[in-house]
Amino acid sequence: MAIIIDLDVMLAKRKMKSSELANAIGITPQNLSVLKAGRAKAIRFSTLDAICQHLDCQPGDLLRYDTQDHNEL
Amino acid sequence: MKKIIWMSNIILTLLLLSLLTMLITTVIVLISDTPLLNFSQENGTNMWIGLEVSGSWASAAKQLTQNNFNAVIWLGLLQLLPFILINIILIRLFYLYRQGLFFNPKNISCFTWLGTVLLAQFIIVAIYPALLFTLLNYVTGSGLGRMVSINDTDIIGLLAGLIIYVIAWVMKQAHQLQQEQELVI
Repeated sequence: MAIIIDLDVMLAKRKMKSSELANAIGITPQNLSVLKAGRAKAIRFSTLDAICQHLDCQPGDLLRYDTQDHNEL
Repeated sequence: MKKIIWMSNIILTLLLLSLLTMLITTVIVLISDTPLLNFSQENGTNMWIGLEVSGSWASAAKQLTQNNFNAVIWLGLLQLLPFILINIILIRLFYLYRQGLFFNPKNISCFTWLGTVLLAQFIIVAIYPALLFTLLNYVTGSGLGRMVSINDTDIIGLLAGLIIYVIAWVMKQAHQLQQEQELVI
């Protein structure tokens, strides 16, 4: 997937644990793990909104487009 | 969800009863001289259990009987076989529904098998008497007139088989959608 999720980077910057964020935004730790690992097929705007709100960041801080990854596909 | 499980329990019970009846019928045909066991009583209660060749094979059965062959053994058991298979597949399907599994590869395989059995039933109905009569004529020298007989019930069975195949494909699509949905966070 050419879209990279930088959620772990943002979590580290905010010194927050995955489980804390999962609890705060109302999704299961397993689903957050799927998102972090880049195995998710899509992300709901409501989830993105909640993550941005709790990590005090922009969607662009979480999502990144990697051209090299796209070429590998 | 509760409705599906509740109704599946009822259907499962009926299917098990139906399968039991079919198996009893098969045993009766295999071990007794008469294909129909009559339990009718003098007070007017009519009850019998057994197997009769019906539908498009009725005329073939008549020919066999006239030539001193046991029509129930030669035709009846094969006529019953698809129903036993359909029953077993449906029992498996509703057992899965009872467990709360709806868009599962196992359910899809049940639908595919159901469609296959119905299509195979149509083909068997169409060609089996002719093949059997050819074989019997060759082996015993009896002059059985070969026939291909298909009635509207068989055509409905064929149609149902094709429809069930399409349902299996739709179920496959639903399964893929469900899998994708599980990965939407």
